[in-house]
Amino acid sequence: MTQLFVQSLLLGLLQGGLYALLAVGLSLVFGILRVVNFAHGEFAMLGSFAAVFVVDMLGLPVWTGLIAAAVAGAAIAYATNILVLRPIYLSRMRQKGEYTIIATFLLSQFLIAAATLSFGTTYRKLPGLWDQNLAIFDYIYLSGNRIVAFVAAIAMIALLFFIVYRTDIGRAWRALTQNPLGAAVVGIDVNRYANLAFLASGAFAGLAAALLAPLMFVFPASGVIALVKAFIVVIIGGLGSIRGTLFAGLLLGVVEVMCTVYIDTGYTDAYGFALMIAVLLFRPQGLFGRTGRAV
Amino acid sequence: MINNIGKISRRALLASMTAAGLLLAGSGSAYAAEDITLGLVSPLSEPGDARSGDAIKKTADLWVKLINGAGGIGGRQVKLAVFDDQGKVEVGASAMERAITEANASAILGIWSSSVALAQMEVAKGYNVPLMAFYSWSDDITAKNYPQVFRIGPYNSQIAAQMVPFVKDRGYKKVVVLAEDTAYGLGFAKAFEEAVKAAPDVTVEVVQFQAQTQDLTAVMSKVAASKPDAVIVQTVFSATNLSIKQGREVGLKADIITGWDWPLLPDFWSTVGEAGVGVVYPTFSDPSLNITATGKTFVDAYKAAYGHEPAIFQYYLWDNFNAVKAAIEKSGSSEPAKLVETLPGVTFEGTIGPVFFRNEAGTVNFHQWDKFAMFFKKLNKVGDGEKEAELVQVAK
Repeated sequence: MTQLFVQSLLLGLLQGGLYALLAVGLSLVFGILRVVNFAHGEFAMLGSFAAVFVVDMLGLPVWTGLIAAAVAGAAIAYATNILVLRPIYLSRMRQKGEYTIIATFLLSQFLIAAATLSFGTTYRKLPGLWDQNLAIFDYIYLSGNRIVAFVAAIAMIALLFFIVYRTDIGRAWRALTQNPLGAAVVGIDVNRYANLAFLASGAFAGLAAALLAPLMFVFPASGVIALVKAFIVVIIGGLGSIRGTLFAGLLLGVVEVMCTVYIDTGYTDAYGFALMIAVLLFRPQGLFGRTGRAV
Repeated sequence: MINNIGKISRRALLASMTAAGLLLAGSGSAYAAEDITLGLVSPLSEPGDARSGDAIKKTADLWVKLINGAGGIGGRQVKLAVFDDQGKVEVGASAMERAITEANASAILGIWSSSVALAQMEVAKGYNVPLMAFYSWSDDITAKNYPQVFRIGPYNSQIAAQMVPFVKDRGYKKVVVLAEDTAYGLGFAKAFEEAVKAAPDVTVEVVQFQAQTQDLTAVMSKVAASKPDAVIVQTVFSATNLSIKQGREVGLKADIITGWDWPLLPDFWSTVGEAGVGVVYPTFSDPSLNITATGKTFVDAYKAAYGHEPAIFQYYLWDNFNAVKAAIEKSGSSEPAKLVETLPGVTFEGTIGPVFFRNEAGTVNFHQWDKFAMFFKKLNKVGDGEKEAELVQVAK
């Protein structure tokens, strides 16, 4: 194997872990509430600005920036659920799905404009936990921050797995995913668990953005591409499947990097779309998704 | 009652006829007595290059303030009609149309991205309104020879031709041009491939990438693996600083030459850090430049207003505005068609010397000012700015 192949494979996997962390909140919320959240990328963007504020402006340690990002992401997601989405998905109106898409899309545009006005247009960088470029045996070249981000992403997804499959909150979420009406009938408080899902979703988005910030930059439109990647991941993995999200994130990372290096550098984003279309053609429910069943 | 209505109606009729007569009499000079409106169509929000858009807007606001403070142009006040092109071709063309049809702009200034400018040119041509370019580098902007299009600023083939001697003198044998997939990025790559034929011992590889990307590690891994001597980075979006940072991350050892002087933007060192040391950037600005009285007025006013010095492209924008002013003064009119006729012949003192247009039909030097020198500068330590950067070569 050539150096470039090994390096590309590693880069793809590391990138994929972050894609999965970005997408997992989106998948969780869709699974529970059937809400397609177009403002998810902006939860991430605002989380990363919170981290920049805490670390750069207040001078606090880098790890506090990660906490700030998770808290900010969670708070904004929670507020979005209460103020924007709940009135729609609890209403009796038809086409709730379409209304939530429109509402979250407009919210996304509003948050980008508000961030531009508040923070300006210059790029900002967040210091990382391991600000070092590594030359492993002078063969593989990686940023220390990229490794930290990957390890943190995998740890967070493992935590989410634990919550979903080993706690009462997770059982309630799964019940809501399988049959919202049935779950409500047996006493599961939809509002409470929807709030918890949004809190987790925003926290994961904010954290992912803060982990990415030392590798890339923070600016008001940074959430747009994050959202696109997150959508591709959840569609490939299967909407609502956390296991699928992890696998699809890693797959997307590897496919993007490998195709960019070995096919053409000019179509990095297109490879993800091509992969998504291929999955939709042959397995429309996603690699780990289940086909819907009318109740 | 009926009689009263009749009287009022007759008065109203007379008043209406008088007003209509006055309007008809003045219809040939709708631009004559009112304020002069200039259209500013720039990327003021993402996904456009909003950082540069912000600098453009500041320059334009300052120019209008100074001109109006000095009594306007021929006693007429100037106002700006500002439109955001978002860096998108379709939005830019639509904004251009609105600036002309809704705001009645006499000329359009502040255009930035070459891809957007190429679409806007068609609108300018359709309405016969002057379009002033200043830092949109695509050759096609003036090479198309549209009577309405003017450029006071550099262009790709001339910049590429000036880069080749630098590449030769530095002893580079293998050069990668990392080009964003826009008219600007790919236009430069094509121009450089053409210009480098003058140096047969230099091989060039063009690596194209998506302009809006936020992660270049895969692209830079491929570039690093090809072991070039130098990488020329031609982009305006987030890939500017990313290419340097992520290039070093993945083991790129080649010299990095930026396509323009973005390392002078305020976010360069805070985002790139140590990876920026050793970067060479070309610029059209140097302390040896002969800043004219016009230029000094601009720089002093800009520093007073915004607390820092303007970048060189803002000098060219200032000259664009003064070109329109000179044309209005010369023709005695702010009608777009008159300005289109007058602009090719205007001469005036620009910020760094006399400004006049070359009008060589059939070439890129049509409605083109080109009296600029290119300075190659190297950043030797973190935090180096224009004053600290080492001048390594001058191309004139």
